[in-house]
Amino acid sequence: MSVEVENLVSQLEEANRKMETIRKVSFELNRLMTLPEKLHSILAILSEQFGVANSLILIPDQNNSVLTVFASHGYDTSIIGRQVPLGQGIVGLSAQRKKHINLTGIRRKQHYLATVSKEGDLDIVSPIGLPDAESQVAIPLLSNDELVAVLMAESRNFCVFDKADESFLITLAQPLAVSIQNSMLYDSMEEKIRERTAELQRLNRTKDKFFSIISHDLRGPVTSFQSLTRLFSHYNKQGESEKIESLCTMVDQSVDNLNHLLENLLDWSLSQTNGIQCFFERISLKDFIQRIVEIYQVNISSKEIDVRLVVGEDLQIIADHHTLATVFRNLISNSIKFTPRRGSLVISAATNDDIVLVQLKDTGVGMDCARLSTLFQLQGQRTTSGTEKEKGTGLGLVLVKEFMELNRGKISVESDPVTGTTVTLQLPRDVNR
Amino acid sequence: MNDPQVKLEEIMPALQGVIPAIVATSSLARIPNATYISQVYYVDGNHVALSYQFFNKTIRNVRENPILVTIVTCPVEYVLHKLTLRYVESQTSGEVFDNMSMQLDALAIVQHKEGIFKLKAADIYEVISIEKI
Amino acid sequence: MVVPSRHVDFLKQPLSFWLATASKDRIPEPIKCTGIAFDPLTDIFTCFAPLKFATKGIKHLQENPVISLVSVELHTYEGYQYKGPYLSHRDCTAHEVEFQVQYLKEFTDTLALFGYSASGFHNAYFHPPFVAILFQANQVFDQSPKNGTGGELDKRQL
Repeated sequence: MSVEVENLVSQLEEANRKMETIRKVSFELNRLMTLPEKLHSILAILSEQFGVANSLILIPDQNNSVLTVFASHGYDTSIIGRQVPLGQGIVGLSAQRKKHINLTGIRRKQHYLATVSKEGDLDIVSPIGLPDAESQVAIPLLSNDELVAVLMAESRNFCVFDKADESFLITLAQPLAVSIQNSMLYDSMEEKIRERTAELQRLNRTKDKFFSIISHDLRGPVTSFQSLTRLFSHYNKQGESEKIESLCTMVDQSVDNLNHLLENLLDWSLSQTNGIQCFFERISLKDFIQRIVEIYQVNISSKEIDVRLVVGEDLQIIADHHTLATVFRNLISNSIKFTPRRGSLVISAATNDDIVLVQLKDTGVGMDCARLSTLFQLQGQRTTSGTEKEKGTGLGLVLVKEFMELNRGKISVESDPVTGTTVTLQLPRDVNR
Repeated sequence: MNDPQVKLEEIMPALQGVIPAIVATSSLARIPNATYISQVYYVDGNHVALSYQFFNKTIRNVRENPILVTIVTCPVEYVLHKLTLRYVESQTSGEVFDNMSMQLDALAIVQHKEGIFKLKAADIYEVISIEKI
Repeated sequence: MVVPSRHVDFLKQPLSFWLATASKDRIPEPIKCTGIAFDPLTDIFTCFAPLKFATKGIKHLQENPVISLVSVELHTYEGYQYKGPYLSHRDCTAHEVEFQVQYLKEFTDTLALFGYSASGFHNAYFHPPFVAILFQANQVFDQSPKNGTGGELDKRQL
């Protein structure tokens, strides 16, 4: 009778011990921490509770084809990162079939199989952990039937993991799986937060630039309107109608300029919010460029700049009309702005297989290396006044680069203060023609 | 000997296949047969299983005379226990079969021999008595 | 003679030996052998075993005098089963006990190479007093584990 009572007492004590372990493990598992910390914490607890000298946690890749060692206990650090395909070895098989395996007397059993099969040379897959393990238990950690990780423990001794240990580990498997999943989510959330912060910072810079442009760069043209209206009033009172006529021309130009700036601003803000929709069509290059040059005819004539087009009549490209027009408008207006009186601008086009190279070569004031290197950057952009104090917003070239990319093209610039600037554009040719 | 009946759970280490077990059977004609097997598998408190991989005298005997006696050795204490068993049935599916099959696969796979060692069935035996010898 | 001559040397190694008997009610009984002596001229096996392991088996042999001996090599799993009529049994001589001591030492040393405990096995098997059980083999079976195992050896293979 007393033996039975003793047995019952011992069972009760064992149950209490297990409850205590579960309580401790649950507490640890519920703490929010990164994945590597979580995995090491789990192995440390298991080592303490089960006295296991060697244990590993392996995590499957997204395709569930290979397991990688993410955490280890009792091995040297080179084991981290080691891989085993699902289905291979005791660990791989447990993961593939989502079932636990508990084996002991492994070496004799392997020897037996090897001896009796006698099918060619013994070709043993290198085990991921100990080369001479006698006992090994592999427990797949599942959450909603999805394989989150595999826990493996092994020993050089026989019969280390009895049925009770096995059952206990299986009981812990699900909360372990959920806990590991939480850490993975935590890590990926941290990553997302980093990305969002970077994105927000970028948008913030954009917003700052936007306000800066509105407050500085547009004020100029608007202020000049004020001067012009005062002059109108003055000449009207004086009855000087010729001067009024010339003022009208100036107003026209100013308005054009302002229009150009506002269009750029609108385009740029749209591109920042990804509002630009490209519609690719066949464009006859010569006509296209010709029409844009005509927009600036007044400025070209007033500065006596020699503009020449060397573009084949039949040359066609595939591009989005609106964004390409913005590219050329900005480049041509820049050339005119920075080319001194009686300078020249040659726009030429050549083909090379299925691309078209367009070159805009001016005899303008050019740029030094420092300026050239920050040409397409928003940060580095400070508006530069033209040779006759023409104004700009500094957005032009930023837009040009973005819009060239939208049109599946490229841009490169060569420049020096002596010979001027050459802009080379690469665009897809319409090869069906 | 007045030892209380040994329970199967008490000799679990001997049922892990660490040390092979000897199995003795008898034909209907009373010819005894002895053979080594790799492992006597624990099923539950009253049952064990032996793996059936290829047809042999033991299987043949048990099908006509269901009593089988095996001696298992504990790899920790090196104590011997004699189990008297009665053949119940042969299972080719179910949890016992799957577990035994997977253990075999786990070992064979390490040697790239998955196809060679296939479990034909899990032979289930009722435990009639367990005796420490 | 049924036992092939090449078995003579095979049987001199520290193999694993077990006997099996069956009662008239067809209850089998395995007996751990702690060594054997084989006479190739008569095909008679003298099998040594601790009395405490052999008691039941000896009783079986009185009512059903048929016995089997299985011998397996531990490295290669090469093994044979010898069956035949039980002849007699007696206590072991001092010389035979000495032989068993030697056999057990070699046997357990071989087991130690596999990671087992030599002393563990020794304590499990060495239980004097010992008996000697004699039988004459009239059938030999190949016991090596493979498909189609258990086949009786062709007498022409001798």
